[in-house]
Amino acid sequence: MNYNKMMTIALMSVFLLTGCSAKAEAQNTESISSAENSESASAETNAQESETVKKTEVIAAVNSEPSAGWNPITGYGQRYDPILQSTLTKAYGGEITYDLATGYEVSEDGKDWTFTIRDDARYSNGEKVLASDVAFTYEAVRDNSTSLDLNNISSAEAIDDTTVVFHLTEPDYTFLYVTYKVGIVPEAVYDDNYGENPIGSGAFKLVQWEKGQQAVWEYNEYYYGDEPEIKKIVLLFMDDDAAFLAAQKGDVDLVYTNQNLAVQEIDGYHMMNIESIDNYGIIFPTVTDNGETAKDGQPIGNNVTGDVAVRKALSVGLDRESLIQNVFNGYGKPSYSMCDTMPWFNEETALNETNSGLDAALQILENAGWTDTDGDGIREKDGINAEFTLLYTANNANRQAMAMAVAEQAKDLGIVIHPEGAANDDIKTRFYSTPYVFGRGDYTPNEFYLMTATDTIGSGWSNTGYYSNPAVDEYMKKAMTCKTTDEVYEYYKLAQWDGTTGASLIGDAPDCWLVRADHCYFVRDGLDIGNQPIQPHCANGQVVLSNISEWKWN
Amino acid sequence: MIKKLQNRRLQTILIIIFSVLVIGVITVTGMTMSSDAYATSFENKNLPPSSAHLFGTDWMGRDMFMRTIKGLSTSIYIGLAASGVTSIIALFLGIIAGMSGKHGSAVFNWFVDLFMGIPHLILLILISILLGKGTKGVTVGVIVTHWCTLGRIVQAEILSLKNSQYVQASEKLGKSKLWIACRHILPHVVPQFIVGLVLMFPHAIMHESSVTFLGFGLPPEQPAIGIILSESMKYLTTGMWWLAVLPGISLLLIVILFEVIGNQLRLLIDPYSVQE
Repeated sequence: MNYNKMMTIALMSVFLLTGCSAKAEAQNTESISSAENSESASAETNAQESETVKKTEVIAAVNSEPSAGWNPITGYGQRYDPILQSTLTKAYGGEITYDLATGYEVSEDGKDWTFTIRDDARYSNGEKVLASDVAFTYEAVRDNSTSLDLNNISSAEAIDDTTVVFHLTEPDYTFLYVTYKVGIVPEAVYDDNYGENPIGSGAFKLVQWEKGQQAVWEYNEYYYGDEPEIKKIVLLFMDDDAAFLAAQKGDVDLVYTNQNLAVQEIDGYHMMNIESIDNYGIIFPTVTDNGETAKDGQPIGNNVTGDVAVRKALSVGLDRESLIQNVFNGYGKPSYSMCDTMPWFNEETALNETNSGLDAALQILENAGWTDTDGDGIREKDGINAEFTLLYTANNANRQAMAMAVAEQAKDLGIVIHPEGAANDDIKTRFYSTPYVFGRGDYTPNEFYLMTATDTIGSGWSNTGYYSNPAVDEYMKKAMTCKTTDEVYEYYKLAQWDGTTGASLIGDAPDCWLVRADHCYFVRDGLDIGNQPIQPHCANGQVVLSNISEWKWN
Repeated sequence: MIKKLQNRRLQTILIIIFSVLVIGVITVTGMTMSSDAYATSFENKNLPPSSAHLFGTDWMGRDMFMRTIKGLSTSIYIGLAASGVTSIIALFLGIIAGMSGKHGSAVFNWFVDLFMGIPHLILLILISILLGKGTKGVTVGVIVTHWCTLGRIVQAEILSLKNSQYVQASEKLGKSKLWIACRHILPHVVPQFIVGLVLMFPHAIMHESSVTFLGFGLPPEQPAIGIILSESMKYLTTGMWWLAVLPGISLLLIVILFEVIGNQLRLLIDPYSVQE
């Protein structure tokens, strides 16, 4: 056999071998290109239309669709304006305003909430929105146990067509904060397929939905509010990089993107980075490991982060500014709690030059007895190394970079962190005993309650750290019984820090919030997306549509 | 001297030594590398290849050359471990099947058909998920799925030897089964087996990378080639070609080297070609 023959064999075997992985890649590109096809088709029709009339259509690439359908009862629209349905109130930007509701009254004991609703509201099928639909929807959401906990509603009843009363089990003067989270569905047509054929009273109606590809919304002519200039929205569901490519080709008008791609420039588009209360941080187990397990068998507690000094040292010592620059390419603001910028934020708990930084953190560790006695760069206390695993959602580049950067910085504190990527389902089996990187934030003090109240231990992603402080519980309980929002805010501020204790980073530091990441959008020049206020945590970017009534083409 | 270099046998040996050396150096370098070499350093993120960073850096400023070497060594390590174990399984099952007559063969063939009937990659993914992914999942997955071909080679070789004249003659002369197995059959099976083993490495490595690439293998913080390639997909759109191209070519080179070793080894020890 000669040399040529040998080479041929070697080459052939290489082609054979690469066959396997090439197939996998081919599948990938296939799915991207099919998405592009549908979207370029719609872009063409769009271009034709715009020649004659003023553009009234927007093509927006968002990350994902509500997988359980456009159904408020299974959770759709709890984190952002559902738009297909209308809600009693709106809160885009944080301030609560009326939408479907025209007014409300609270009984003296704080248990009965009476809302009056508009009598001119109609669903996209022409039927009237009734108070009984409101009652039906709230009870259904309560019984369906979504991430929104409405268990305090003992019953909801319609007095007449435009009046609905919520009877609460416990007095709760903060009830108003749930009213912007529930889109109202018509009881008459509601069934198990509602998520695919949503009928709502919002500004838009769903006319087409190709799962995993796109959804088409059109203006709902029965909508009671001001008619928006935009009459049609095409939502494309694509990954960041596919969406970026689509923008480069000029096929989309708006692209929700990540902070890594945001630094790129695309001809014909400008970058809108919108401030958010989308907090990125670390959730710690706050108790030590006593061998106890949760009801599903997950171990509880962590002997390193169970010590408040470790949690506090990290909260104080991690350099937020460098995280913003490194992980988020400058698109972010420092975060100190879940409440930053909100009216119930206790500003005393924000760090300043005197109580933050490496030295302050080292001092906390030294005082608590965490010292490096054997000179290996890791502090110890009572024979335990200051060392822990930090989980992050494996396919989330931001959370991964965050975990890596935190681990890098923690070395200077003598704390060794091992970042480990895992699927969210895997994190759930370990989150009572292992710290993890998390993102969260909304316009309601309930968020703070969920993360810190003893009651919420063990319910989903809320208070996975088993944090419990009677004083904090007491303040938040009192907040529920306050009659004015100012008093509510005051008690939430005390829950964060009352001078001696609290659930903020200068108190018990149950979690360590680091960065509020800006939400970044490529917007086609000429598209005015209105005055975008501070945005809540929203994984897919659809929240930007919340003020669609202000959008227009110039 | 020139004549000597043209000697095929010497050429073959030199090629093998060279390939083994390259793979050895990469493996040892990767194994002994401290994690500081590919630690995150955000000041240096997204750099194109340069003399300081041969393969450039990624979005967390990690040196891609170091990550690639580390990843390759991980792949080689898993490949070696998996091929080693799987080839022993193949040898064992192949011998049993070859020696045990009709029914044994039937059962063996049924098993092989079962495993070959399901696409490798899918079976691998399933096994990996079942075992909680990670190094363990991938390694066991590769072990369980890769013995079939080699097992069949061993079986076929044994079957044909069993019916060959000199084995028949040996039997007639009253030699014991063990004696025949050791003296007549093993010397023929061993070269086939060794070559098959070496040629299995690239398979194992490619499959490890593929499974990891698809997200069912090693975790993302581990520097593995599959991870590097799947991460790079996200950044190709922004023109960071070096993240995919250079590690990809490196993986290809390693696979080619294993192929070369396997083929050269066959020329060297296979009784049919050794005298060429």
